[in-house]
Amino acid sequence: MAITSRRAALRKISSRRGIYFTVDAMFAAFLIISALALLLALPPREQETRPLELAAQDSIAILTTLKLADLPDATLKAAVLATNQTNENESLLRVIGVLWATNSTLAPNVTAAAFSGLSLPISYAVYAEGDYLGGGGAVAQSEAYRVYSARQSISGIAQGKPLAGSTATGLLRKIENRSTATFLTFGGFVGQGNITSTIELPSDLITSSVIDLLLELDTPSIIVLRINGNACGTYTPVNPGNSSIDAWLIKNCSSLLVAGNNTINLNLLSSLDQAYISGGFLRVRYTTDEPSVLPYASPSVTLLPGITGIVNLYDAVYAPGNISSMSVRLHYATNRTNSTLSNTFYLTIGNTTVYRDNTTNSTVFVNLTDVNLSSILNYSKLSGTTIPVRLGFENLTFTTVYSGSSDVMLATDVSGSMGWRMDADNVNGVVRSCTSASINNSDTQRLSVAKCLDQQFVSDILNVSGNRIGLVSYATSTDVPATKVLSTNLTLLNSSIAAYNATTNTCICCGINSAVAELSRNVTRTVIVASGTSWNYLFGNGSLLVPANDTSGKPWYAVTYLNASSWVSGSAPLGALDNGSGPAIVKDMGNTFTQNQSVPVLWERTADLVSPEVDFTSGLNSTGNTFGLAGTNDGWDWQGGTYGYAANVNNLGVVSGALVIDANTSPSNRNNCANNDCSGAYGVTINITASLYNTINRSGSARVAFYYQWNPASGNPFESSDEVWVKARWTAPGNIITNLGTEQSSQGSDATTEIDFRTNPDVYMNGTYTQDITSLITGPGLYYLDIGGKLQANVNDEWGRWRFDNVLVAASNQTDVYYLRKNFTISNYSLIQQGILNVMSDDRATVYINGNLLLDEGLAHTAQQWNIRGYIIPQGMFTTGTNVIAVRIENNRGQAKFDLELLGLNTSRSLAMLAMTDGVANQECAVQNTGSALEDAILSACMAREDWGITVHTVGFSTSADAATLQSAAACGSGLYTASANTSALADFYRNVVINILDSTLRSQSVVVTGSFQPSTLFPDSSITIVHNGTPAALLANEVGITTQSGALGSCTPTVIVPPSTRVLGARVTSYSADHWTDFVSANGVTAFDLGAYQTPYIALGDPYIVQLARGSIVPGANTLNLRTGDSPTNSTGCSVNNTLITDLAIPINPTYTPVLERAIGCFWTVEQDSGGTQSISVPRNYVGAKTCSYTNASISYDALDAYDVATANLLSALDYDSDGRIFISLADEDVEIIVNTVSNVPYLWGPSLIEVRVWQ
Amino acid sequence: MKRHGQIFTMDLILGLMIMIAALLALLVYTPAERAPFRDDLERLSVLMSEGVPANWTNSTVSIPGLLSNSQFNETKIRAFDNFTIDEEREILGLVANAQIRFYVNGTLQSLCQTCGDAVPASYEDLFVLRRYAVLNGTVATMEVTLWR
Repeated sequence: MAITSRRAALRKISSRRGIYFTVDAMFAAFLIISALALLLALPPREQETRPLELAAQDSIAILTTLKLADLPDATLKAAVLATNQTNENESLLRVIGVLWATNSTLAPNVTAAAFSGLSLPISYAVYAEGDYLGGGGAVAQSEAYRVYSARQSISGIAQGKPLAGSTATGLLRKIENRSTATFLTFGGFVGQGNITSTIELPSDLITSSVIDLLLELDTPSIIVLRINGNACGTYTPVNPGNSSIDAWLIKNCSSLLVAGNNTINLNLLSSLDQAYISGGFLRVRYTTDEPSVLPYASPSVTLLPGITGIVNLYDAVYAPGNISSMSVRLHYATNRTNSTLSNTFYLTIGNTTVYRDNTTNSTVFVNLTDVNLSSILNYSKLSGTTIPVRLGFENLTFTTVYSGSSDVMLATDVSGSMGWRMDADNVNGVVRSCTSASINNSDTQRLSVAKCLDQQFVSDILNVSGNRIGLVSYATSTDVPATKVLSTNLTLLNSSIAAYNATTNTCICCGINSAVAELSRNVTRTVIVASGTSWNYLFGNGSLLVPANDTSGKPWYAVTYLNASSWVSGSAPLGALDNGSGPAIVKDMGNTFTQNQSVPVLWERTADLVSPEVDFTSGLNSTGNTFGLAGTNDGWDWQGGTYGYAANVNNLGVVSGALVIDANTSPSNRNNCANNDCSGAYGVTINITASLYNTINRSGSARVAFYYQWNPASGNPFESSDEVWVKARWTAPGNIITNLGTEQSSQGSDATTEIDFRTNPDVYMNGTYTQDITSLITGPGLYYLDIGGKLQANVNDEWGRWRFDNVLVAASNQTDVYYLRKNFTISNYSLIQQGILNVMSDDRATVYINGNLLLDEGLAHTAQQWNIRGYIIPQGMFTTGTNVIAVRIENNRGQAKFDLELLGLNTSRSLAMLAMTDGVANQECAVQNTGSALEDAILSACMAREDWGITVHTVGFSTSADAATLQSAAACGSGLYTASANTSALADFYRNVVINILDSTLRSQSVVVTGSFQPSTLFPDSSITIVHNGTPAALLANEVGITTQSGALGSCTPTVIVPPSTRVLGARVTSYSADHWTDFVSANGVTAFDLGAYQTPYIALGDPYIVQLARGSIVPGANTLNLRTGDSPTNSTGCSVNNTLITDLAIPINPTYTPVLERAIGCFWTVEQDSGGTQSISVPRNYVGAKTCSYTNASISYDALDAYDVATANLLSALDYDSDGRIFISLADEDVEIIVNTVSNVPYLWGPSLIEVRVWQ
Repeated sequence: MKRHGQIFTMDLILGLMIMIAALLALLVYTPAERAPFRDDLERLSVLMSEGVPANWTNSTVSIPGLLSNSQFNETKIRAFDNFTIDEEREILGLVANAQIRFYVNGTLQSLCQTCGDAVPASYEDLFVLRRYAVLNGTVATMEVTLWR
């Protein structure tokens, strides 16, 4: 009952709820309908407002459509036109905008006039950027129910800003009637006599177009200059010779020059031996319309200078590309006399004499064709470089005069034994004078011989002007009173030598130390780079790769190498001190490089090729048992008796993942070997491919490794007479067998090396054996490895098993390279007139100074201090300021080691000594303090070399002299050594030492004409023609070409800035060499010229005055040059400070316009150049106003609102790459003109500004 | 629970029907009743264009715009005047009666003096639209009168 009632109640409730919701919905619908009805009752806004919106839009359209010309009010229009709005087709919208922008009061009037045609029932107003400009209508805007507006933007106007201006761009243009110059160069060395050359001038040249002539020469002679046969003055040098130049600017000979070829005569008035020019040029400046000549054209024709007197020419030609052919035309005359009949006239190109003539006695033409030349010249060697050319006479025409700068000490042993005869000890010799006919007899007293040789030696040294020599005599110690300081007094020195007396002991180190003290007495030594200091370094990481060039193309050893900043800095790579015996290894770089390993095929099963070792995990890969190298290249083999004894071992193959040889050959665990002794092995053929061999041969290594185990039978069956060995062999092609391991036990019949062994082998034995087999791999081919065991036993219960696993043969390229750099500063250049370099390296070092290769050790070696000792560096390789020394260390295996010391001496003189003795050093020196008189002697020579760069020659008199000590001392002192009891042989040695000293100290070779000479003439139509494939330089469409010549470089290793914004077409240097040779030129480490590479005495080679730099070696930005002169590859004479760099540059013309500026008037400019001086120019050229502008170091000023001025300033700024207020070209000299193109009435890009029309009712 | 769902669904359907009916009523009756010339105004806007084709003639006209280069083109206006009244209404798609006149400085121009009907003395609704553009270098007013 209760349940029924509840359900009924629920039905009621449910029924009521449905009613309630329906009523809610109807109520909501009522509300919506009411809202809609209300909405519909409102005015139709769209229809009412639309006309006003359209009216506003129409108004804007009308202002846009109507032109200034449409203005009905002529007066108003005229007023507008008077505001410089001269375009009557301009829309009124813009006119109104401009009037607003210029704050003109006409804007409201124009606005009203624009709408004057309307009879509007609406009101309107016009605004510009919110500024009211005018309007009309009956209803005030403030009373409007609603205001409608339309807007239009106008670009190029803004209130208070000008409406239009000018824009301009500046560029360089080769001007017509440009000024340029042609050079006629002389040298390296042009002599002897009068010189005639031809200079070709442009075809449009007239007298008035010649600006001036400049004669710049290095000559000792007074010069009479004649042009086309007419005198053009006499010029006397103020700085004759020695690479000093004289220059004369000539302005009064213009009329003597003609278009085309001009003959230039230089009559040298000095005596014939002074009648030469050792570098220089005649420059003719002129104006012309002809285009510039760009470098590298083919064929390259070099006219030789005409010489009347004695033809003596040291010159050069240049082959810009690979030479395809050459030809020579010689036009000369000789006038032989009886005394000169044998003189040979010759031409040498490179170091090859291509023409010889010892018969001609008249004027001849000689044409050497390519057929003649190609067969004797190495074109590939001569291609792309400056080629020395020598033309002159052999024999007697000249006497070469040597002048030296050597300081030499002669150390003579005056110990008691010097009183003995030459050929025997303890027997007094016969005292003889040097003039004695018997002086060479073997019974002559040693000291007598020494005195004679000393006196001759002194005489020979002093025979070359400039050399000095001093004396030291020593016995138990140095005879101080007898020591003679460096002198040129031959008499004094001879008398001192004559006073030598033999007495007491032998102190070789005393003599050497005293000689060193005298040689270094007035020399200041500077430590430039100390031993053991910190370096920047880059670890080769197991690779031979050379560090990449930096973004400017500079190599890792260049002076500026941008990537060096990322190199590690510090002394960490130099490792720890090694206190081992022998010469101290000061620093050790460690051995942390990564090995690159290659392995040959070892016939491992494919499934096991996870690791390089053969691990036998899945079994033995055997393709047939063909043991030994005679077999084929197949899988693993096995053999019994391999190492001797019986063969009946059990080769069980792979058991439990290892190779097993079992000496248990009986079912009852018995040794069944004959006599209980046996051996056996497994083997495999190894194919050393060419690639693997290359890896090994290129300073790599190879090794063999394997795991071995001896597992004896249980029960300790062995006795002490028993032995077991682990054996292995390596067989090379030719069946050359090498037993691996070392000899450890030779019991019984075993006489070969072994891997391991056990006597009384009851104990377990195992290990992993590794051996370097690099030396056993002699080339690619098949090799054979066998590994096994050998047992010596005496009863049959003595047996066991050998097990082998993880067999590896691997080749590793262990060669590693370290790159090191160190900056050092030379603030006082005079203190470093030569450098002394000491280097320790393991395995070998390559050293660069300031981007130039200094030395490259060819052979690998172990480290000692020092491997390179006392290497002399000419001053020219250094520069004032920052210098860089860079070293490449290559290491093959083991520890790489490096240390370096660089010293500087304030003398350029060459230092040497000759130390003689007849015996054995028996007196020690505290300076060396080795505890051994012999070692002290050697070390004193080493110290002389490494500390002072002194060359120590040693000589032993008699057969009793300590050859080993003297030889070691000479080796350490980079000198010569001999020992002999033969006086003649000793005399020869002394002469050799003299020659060695003279060769190394020869400072110049002056030409002196003596005796009968052969008058000769070389006519100036002689030439050398080279046809090559070098690509001629060319300008791109947007480039202008100029040639710039630097000022005097002032240094042998200058840094020259080439403007960064340019492209280098070609570059060359001038090099004044005086009476030496220009022998080395490089740019940024790229060698352009190396006379020493011809490996020929310089006297036989040409000498360039112009050296072309390798294409691409000069780059925009900083460039480091290295110029050297010398008399031999080892005798640098520095360089001339007057050398210059000449570059052919392409300047890109990328005109960019200035912003629109108010004016385009121009200015009168004062422009300063980097080369010095200022120039005044008008830009534009026709500017005649009073306005002045400047672009100088002191001031950069111009009208920033003048398009001409801004464009000019922009261009000048582009030419001022170092922003110092000076441009790098001379506008006058470089044939260029500043052109400024302007475009006027260019609208500004102000705004846009909004013009608004508002309408309302 | 099911009954509750039925009750709410019925409410919803009823509400939606009322809503849709109201909206339809608004759409159907508003333009004609409350903005009688709205569509015609839109159609007349083509007169302030160059028309189609831009150099249309009476034989080629697709849309009769009266402007060239943003200015009233007298040739086009005269061509438009050459249409009959029915042609004008048809080509413009007008529903209401229309008259088009041109004024410069308040002066009726001779152009288009027969464009459209004459405005009757009595009408139910009347609407005047004025558009402005340059005509021969001065501002002219195009006055369009619509009525029904």
